[in-house]
Amino acid sequence: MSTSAPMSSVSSHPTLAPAPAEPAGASSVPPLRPRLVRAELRKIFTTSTWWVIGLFVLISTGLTLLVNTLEANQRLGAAEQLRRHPPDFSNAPPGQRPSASEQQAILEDFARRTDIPAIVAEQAANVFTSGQFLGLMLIVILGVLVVTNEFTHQTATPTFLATPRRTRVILAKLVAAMVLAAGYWAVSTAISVGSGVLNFSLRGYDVPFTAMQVWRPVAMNLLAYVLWAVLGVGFGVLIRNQLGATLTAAGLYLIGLPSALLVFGFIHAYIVHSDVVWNFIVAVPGVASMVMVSVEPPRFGPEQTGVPWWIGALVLTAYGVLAGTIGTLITRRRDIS
Amino acid sequence: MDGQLVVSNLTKVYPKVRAVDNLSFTVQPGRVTGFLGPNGSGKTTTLRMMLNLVTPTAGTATIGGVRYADLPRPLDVVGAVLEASSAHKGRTGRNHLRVLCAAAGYPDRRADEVLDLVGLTPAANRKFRGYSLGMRQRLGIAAAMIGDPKVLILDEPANGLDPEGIKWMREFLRAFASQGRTVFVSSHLLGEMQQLADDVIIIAHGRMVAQGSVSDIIASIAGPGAVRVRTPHVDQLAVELSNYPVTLEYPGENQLLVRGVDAATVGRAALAARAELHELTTEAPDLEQAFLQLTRAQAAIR
Repeated sequence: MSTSAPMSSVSSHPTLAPAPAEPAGASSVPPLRPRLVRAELRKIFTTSTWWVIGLFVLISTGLTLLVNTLEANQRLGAAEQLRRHPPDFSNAPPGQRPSASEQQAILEDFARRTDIPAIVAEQAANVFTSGQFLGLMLIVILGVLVVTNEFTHQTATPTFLATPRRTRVILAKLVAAMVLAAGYWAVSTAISVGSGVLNFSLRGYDVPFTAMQVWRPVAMNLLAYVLWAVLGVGFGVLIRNQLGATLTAAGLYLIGLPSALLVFGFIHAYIVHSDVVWNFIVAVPGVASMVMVSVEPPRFGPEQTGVPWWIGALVLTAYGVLAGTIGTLITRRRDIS
Repeated sequence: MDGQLVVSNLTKVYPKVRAVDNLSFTVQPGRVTGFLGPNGSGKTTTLRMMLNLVTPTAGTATIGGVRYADLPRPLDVVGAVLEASSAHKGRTGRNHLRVLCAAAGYPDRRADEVLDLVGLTPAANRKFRGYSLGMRQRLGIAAAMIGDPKVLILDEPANGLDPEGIKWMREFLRAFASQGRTVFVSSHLLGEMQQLADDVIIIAHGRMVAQGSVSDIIASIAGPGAVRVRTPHVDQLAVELSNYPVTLEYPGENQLLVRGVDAATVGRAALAARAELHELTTEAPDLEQAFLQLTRAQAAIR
């Protein structure tokens, strides 16, 4: 196993299989080439990247699944406990008996807190999206690696020699990163849903899969995985240094919400005092992602209506498109040397 | 499509330096053409502009009349070896080639065929980080050969190779050119090109210095060699040699360095002068020295 092994003579060259014939009209086909996506996927699967990220996805899914399952069981247990003691106004002393309208409110509150199917649905959504927070960070790092690996390992040269139309390369990278993200989502979701359904059914609860509040967060979780992969590719193109791009993307993801709260809190306190200000916090990618996957719109102020999930989805999609477009334009112009 | 390379008025200006300055030349198929210049003279930038990796500030480069970016299947036309470390350290040599096969639309077995061609089959499943520099160069050639191209473009391929590797590379490129294909290979060593190339293009500071066949270029830049003579009768010989168009140097006691005539003429003169000879040798011109002087002179013109 050394280079001094007998070398094939150059004269063997003409015996090589002839190259496949040029397909007709090859230059006029659309820029997305399946074979380039296959090449990009192969780049990931022939290095340790895919299983290292997969391992972290599994760990983060497993740990949060455990916590979320325990929380769901605790909530359901508390609701069952409460249900055995409905409010009874008959024993109250006549002078202290709540009025009819007060009784009505208490009963409604009781009904809400013991609505087992609703609690199951809410907790199921939470359990089925276990590992999302760290998972999305891993996916953004994956997107970064898909691009920066080419520069760290100088493979950009052979890549762009094989495919001088760079838009096609970036498109293939975007699609490959999205496919991988969807794959990680599928694995993570399969584990969470499988384990979650087992847990709920063992305790005698049926999971209302058809309820929008159950399947929508799961579907939006998929969208979030795919879009963060796109954002990662965009980051990788903007910041070519691997470590720099990884830290920036992960950092922005992690501190996105707290720093947005700080900035918007400042604006709310000193500039615009209306709670409407909080609605614009959805412009921050991390917040948009959170809004998108939430069952209830997150509220940051008492008078705020909350931003609906689909605005979060739109905002994150817009960022994804923007990152992909800027990334493509930059890559097309960049000198590879 | 033939494999003629045509570079016309190619220019690359970076913020602080004019790396390539209005360079024009053609490279013919069936020959090995050397691309010579000192380090930093713009060779790599030129090659990268020819391959659409670097955008020219002005000018064009075509391969068989087509710009690289417009080649529908570029690897079928041009194979390029630009840097020895263009592979992921954690990927095996075979997988590196299979990635390129997938991107260029070739079946995976093509990777094994080119590995065999460069003699890397025993190391196919080893990771790239374990490859020696010679193995990395071979992997680069294997990658360049995936499309069985008409043109090979190589940037300093002999860098870091041991003598055996250099010999292998030389034979490989000569055989490739002898099949009527084009070889364009850069180097900063004239001596290396003397053994390999048919034609040379010499640049300095991004500008053309000289181009032509290797023998013509060497004759024009190095001038005739010198004849070294050792004789106890230096003065007698010098008098006799004054009948010839020569320049004389006296490098030491009983020594004479004669330029302008060949060794046979000096021997004849010595016989006529009845000078006893202890040594009569022809000294080859120092090519590298002459080459450096030539390129330095060009730099001074700027």
